[in-house]
Amino acid sequence: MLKLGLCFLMGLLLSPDSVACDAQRNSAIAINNGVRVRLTIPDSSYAGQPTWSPEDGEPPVSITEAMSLIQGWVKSKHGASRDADFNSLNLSPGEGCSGASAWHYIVYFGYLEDGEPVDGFTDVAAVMMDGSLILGEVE
Amino acid sequence: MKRISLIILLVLALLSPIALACHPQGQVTTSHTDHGHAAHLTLLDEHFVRAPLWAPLKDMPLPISPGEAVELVRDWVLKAYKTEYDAKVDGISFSKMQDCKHRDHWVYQISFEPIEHEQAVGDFGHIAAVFLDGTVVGGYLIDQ
Repeated sequence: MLKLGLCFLMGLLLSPDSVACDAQRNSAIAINNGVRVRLTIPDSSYAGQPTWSPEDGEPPVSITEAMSLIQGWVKSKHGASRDADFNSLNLSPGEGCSGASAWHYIVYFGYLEDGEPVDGFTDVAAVMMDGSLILGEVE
Repeated sequence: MKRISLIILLVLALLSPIALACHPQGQVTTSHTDHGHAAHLTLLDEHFVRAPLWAPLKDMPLPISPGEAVELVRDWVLKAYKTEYDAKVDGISFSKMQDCKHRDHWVYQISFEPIEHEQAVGDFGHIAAVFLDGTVVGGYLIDQ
């Protein structure tokens, strides 16, 4: 559980101001028993995103829509018997090296196989406000 | 500002579901913010009793949307702080409780800066939780 907790801690250190502008600038990491899943949001993903901030009301992509997008990917990647098991969605601002900025969801989720948790594995993905999905990759 | 945004994200990280372990008097999360202040957020059993359960992907409408949660926090700030204050939201976390007593409860945790006349009040972030019945629980700050 401690390692799972660390994924939230490390994954949320996404502050665009906190590090120099490089490829790791907007990245999140999930750690699963020594396996690291890294999510990196490409600089190009910030360009052309719908403008939104929390003072504007509802985000262009709702929480349930973000979850459905992840679930759709899980089904297509792993088959009909597998479901996403969501832990948290963090709606936060990000900024690309070009200066383009946008809010996005960072979603931490595990997997269910026929309704049963799959070995505590946590994955991470981003859902941008245009509905595009950026997936973490095992390092 | 760089330090503040990093710390706000750190606060959200520390408020992840894993951080909210069982506690006999409720659930307490403590995280350092900035300038010698620490933010405490206490979620009590009574909050969970009132809040509806929710499950993703079950065709259950989400009782409180992110926009509604933000509005609830802004209203709460007006009452809890000072009538001229508003809240500039820096981050919204929507998490499933992982503790032993409150599984299947989802809670928003919203970090914000109090602002007055569009200027930040203080140099540190604040935090509030929003339950799915609309109850807002504000964090409080103490000097370290």
